[in-house]
Amino acid sequence: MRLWGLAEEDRIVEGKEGALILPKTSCDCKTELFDEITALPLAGEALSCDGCGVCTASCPVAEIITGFNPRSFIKTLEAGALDEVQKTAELLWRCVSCQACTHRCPRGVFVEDFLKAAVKVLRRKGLMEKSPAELFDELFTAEVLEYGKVEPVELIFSWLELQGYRVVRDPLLRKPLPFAGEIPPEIKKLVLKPLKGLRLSFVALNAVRLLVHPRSRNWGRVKHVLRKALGEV
Amino acid sequence: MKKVLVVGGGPAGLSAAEALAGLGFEVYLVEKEDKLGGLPVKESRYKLFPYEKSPEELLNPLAERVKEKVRVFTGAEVEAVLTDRPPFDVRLTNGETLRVDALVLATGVKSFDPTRKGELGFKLVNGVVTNAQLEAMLARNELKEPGSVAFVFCVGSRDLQLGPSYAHCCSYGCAHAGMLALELKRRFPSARVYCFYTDVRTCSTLERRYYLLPQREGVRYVRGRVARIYEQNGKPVLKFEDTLLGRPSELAVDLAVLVLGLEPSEGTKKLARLLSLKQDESGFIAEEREGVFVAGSCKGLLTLQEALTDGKATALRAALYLKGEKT
Repeated sequence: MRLWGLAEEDRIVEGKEGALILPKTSCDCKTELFDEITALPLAGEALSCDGCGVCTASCPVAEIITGFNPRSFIKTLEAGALDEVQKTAELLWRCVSCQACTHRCPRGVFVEDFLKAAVKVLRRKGLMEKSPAELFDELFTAEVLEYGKVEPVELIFSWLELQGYRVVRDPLLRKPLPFAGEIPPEIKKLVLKPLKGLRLSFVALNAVRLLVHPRSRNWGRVKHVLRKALGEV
Repeated sequence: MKKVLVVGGGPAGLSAAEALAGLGFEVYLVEKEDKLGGLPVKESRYKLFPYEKSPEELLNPLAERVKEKVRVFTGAEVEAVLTDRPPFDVRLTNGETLRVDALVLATGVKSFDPTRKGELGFKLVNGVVTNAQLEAMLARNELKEPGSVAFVFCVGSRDLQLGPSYAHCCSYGCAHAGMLALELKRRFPSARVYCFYTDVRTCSTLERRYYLLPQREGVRYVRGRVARIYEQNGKPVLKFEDTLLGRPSELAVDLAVLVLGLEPSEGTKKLARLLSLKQDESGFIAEEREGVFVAGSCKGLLTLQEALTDGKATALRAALYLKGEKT
């Protein structure tokens, strides 16, 4: 095992037996975690990180989100400071993969790949929750497999439902009814703005479609093709 | 009388030539530039540590002594080495062909070309200069009082982004920049001077003079590598992370000084090829062979003090070889 960080058996614990005394070293040294991450492709380059901070200084996300700090992610994971890792774990998935860090790192560390590998391992260990982006991804895939294409209205309302909004679905087809349930005010505004400019005759003609759910052609065959392809993979 | 050709008229080459001539050999010296003195003279450096004297002051007396005893070819290069084993027939670019019993290579190093690091804004952003340019300004007394100055360490050294041959440390930059920062702080006491470092490598006795003293006199050392320099209101702005605070920050200064790294010169690469000598990952010459001796920075970076000593040491090794003793 590598000898960075302070191994548990080397820690100094002061005080008498049975007394509640914290160890002098601050970290819960779990270097296995780092070993597991660096075993993944390209993430191993992180072993040569010298902590110069170029990644953080180049990072466009760090400018917006306080606490997003690739250098600190690498170093805390390297030290195996699990408590620190868990504090910032929810920020890890915010990386936008712009590769500015990887492009500038003077030690040739693939920072973005390391972060993605860290997310993977932390998720596998149950130390991190699924990110909204991933949840949306799952929903999107399920949608495509269900209908053979993306149904925007269906997708938006399923997402809203997942966010905790009450969505009313018609009892027959289980499709969402756009104006029946709750919608976030921004989306309501977005939808109502073009409606205000509509002519009455147009609304009257398309009332059913606007109110119930937008129809589209059946893409059922694509669905079967996709499922078949996935099955073969 | 045995003959030796010293290639390169920098500090190491000059001291080797002087020592060999003093030991009674017939010495030739080839220098590419018109003036002897090597990199410090060519880049007209302001002061050299640890002597804190100008390169002319330090190297001109040596060059004069060499000129008296040694046949010097300036403005010439080695064009070809015609024999594989000693004695070597060496053809120079000025048409001269020499037959020598030993070669001393002291072809040295050159400064990194900062335009290769576009993100640091050299030639793109107003107020970004190299350390050599700052020194020229200091030497000519042209520098107006700056409000703030930032030294950016390790430009073109310890940077694998430029390629695998840039992993080496330039070994002089930290002490050199420390000396310049101290000089600026003493000249302009109200100026704010920052040094952006990853590690400060002022080894041995240099630590006190070029790291501790600047800090005591108010030079701010910030731990973090500068990622980008861009222009705002006509001033360079440095983007970096203060890694000790864990905080990404920006700093607007009047003058950003890039402390350039060193790499093997064209001459070093050419001679290694001509004599088929092994080069290391960074391109420095990594071996010697019968009758070929390597002195100075072309085998790995040395400070001026070390280069002068190494020139003499190599001269001694060459002399022992020429007298038929095993080295």
